[in-house]
Amino acid sequence: MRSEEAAYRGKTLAAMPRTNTIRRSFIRAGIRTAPGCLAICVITYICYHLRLNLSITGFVYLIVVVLQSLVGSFGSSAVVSLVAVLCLDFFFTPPVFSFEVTDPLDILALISFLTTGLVITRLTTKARKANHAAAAAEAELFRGAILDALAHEFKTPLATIVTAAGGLRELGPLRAEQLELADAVETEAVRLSSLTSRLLRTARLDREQLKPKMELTDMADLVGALAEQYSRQWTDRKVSIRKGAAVTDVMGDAELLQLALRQLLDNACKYSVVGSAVTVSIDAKEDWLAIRTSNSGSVIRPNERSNIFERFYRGAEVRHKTPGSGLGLYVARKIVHAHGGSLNLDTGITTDNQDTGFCLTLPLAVREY
Amino acid sequence: MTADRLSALVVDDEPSFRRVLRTSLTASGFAIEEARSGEEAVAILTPGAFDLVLLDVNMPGIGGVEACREIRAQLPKIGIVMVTVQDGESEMVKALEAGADDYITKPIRFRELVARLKAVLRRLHTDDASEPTSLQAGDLELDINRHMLYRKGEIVHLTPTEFELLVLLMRNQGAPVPHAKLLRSVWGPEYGTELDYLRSFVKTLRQKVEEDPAKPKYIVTEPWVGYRFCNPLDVSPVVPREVSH
Repeated sequence: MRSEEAAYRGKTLAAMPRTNTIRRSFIRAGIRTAPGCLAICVITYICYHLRLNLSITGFVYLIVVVLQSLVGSFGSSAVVSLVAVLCLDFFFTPPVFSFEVTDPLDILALISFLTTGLVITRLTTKARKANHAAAAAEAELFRGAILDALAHEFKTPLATIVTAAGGLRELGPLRAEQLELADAVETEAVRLSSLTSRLLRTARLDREQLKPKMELTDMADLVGALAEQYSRQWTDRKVSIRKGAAVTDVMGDAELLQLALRQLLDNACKYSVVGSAVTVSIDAKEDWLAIRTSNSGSVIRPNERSNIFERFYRGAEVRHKTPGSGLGLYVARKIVHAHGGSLNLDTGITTDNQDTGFCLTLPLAVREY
Repeated sequence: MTADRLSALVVDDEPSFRRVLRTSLTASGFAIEEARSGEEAVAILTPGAFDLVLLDVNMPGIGGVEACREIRAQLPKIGIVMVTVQDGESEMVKALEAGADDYITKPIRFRELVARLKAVLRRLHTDDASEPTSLQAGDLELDINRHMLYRKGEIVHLTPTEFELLVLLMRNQGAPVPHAKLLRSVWGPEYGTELDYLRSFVKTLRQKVEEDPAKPKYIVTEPWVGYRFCNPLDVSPVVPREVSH
């Protein structure tokens, strides 16, 4: 995608050095094939001493291969098949104790054995993978359905609470403290209601294909209005906006883009220290508009930085401290991609112990007039 | 309709919500009756029985929009305010086209509801056939014959299109005007879906008319529906909602 190539500071951390991981995976693979090979050796010994012939031994080996493929990877099972066919050749195919094979039919037998072993292994490992994927998908659907159901259930009672609180306040005469409480009920219930709507919207966007309604949208207006709302709402954060671009029009679905930006602002406010600054900036460079958010507070660990955009992923630091569905960044990125843009961690700002920044880029709209 | 109290019919399938509305509106001076569905509402409503109907859009059975259409057909003079949920669907536009006078989105702020109901009644009672030659609101004065707009007594130059747009909005002062209606009336019947076209005109109009174009007080956006011309002197607070644009 062009947007991936041209994205501002889009790269996540560079890959770790390769040699360590290769050596480790070799050792791990070796450990996985050991039991299978051991079983082959034991069976070879037993069958040889019982003077069993090629066919019977072959079938017994196949049992081992099947069992191995049920628990191991394709690679380890393939190795076990190979070991089995070599033992079959060496110990049970005339001339015995040599890899030579005199009878052409025996060659056929060995090849058939190897082929069967490999095919069984392939089929079994594939089926296991498919099962795992299906189970994971089902778990995700389930989670999504629960979020949906909850959000729907909340909407009506919340609407009733908001109206009742408003009615209470208007009906006077209320003492100052009573008014204050009625105000608090209404404000918080409205806030909860908006959150619920947004959660529902996010869940729906997660499930469905995005069909953004593209219109000329002035991002400076949009971002400005949002920044103001957040600064009103989050009184213990210093929300500020910096506009570094004169032209900020993009072709986009304003509602969806707002949702994505809200996600970033929500995160910036939620996961930052009380009293700290949350800044939003808009800049333009060539054909791209870049909107950056930054905050200081809880940190995204380096090893999690590529995971945060995954569905339902919640960082270890925040999982128990702050509530969240884990869908926000996933959907935000989905929205941005549907607009031909990119959403990434701003590696220029993000440090290891304090600050976190995100960068959202969008292609600028081509002005025809 | 009783002599001193305004009467309203609350139509919603949610009993607890109906109860809250009944209690609050009664204490605000309305005489309230309830209906559980569109069909029940249509059956109850007889000419002169009620001043207003508060109708929920999402109801089982014939639903709110269809009920609105039937009520409007039988009772051209009643005030209809639809209660909707803001989720991006175009139910509100359909409701307005079915004859609703205004709408309000859940969760309803009670103050806003009362203001809207009263505004609807005001518009209904001052609905006369004569077209005023000058429209006024706050700092603005629009002289229709001379095609001139005055702001704080000074002339503001508007293009013919901007002028037509402003006239339409001001004539419907206080009421939501759907995008399609604005486009059709000002640009012509072949128009109806050119939203960004309309939006850019509204933007330039706001720059000429508003104190702070980024926070419009006169030409207010009704998300998913259209625009509403508000008189800032009206005691109808426009409560800022989460959705802007």
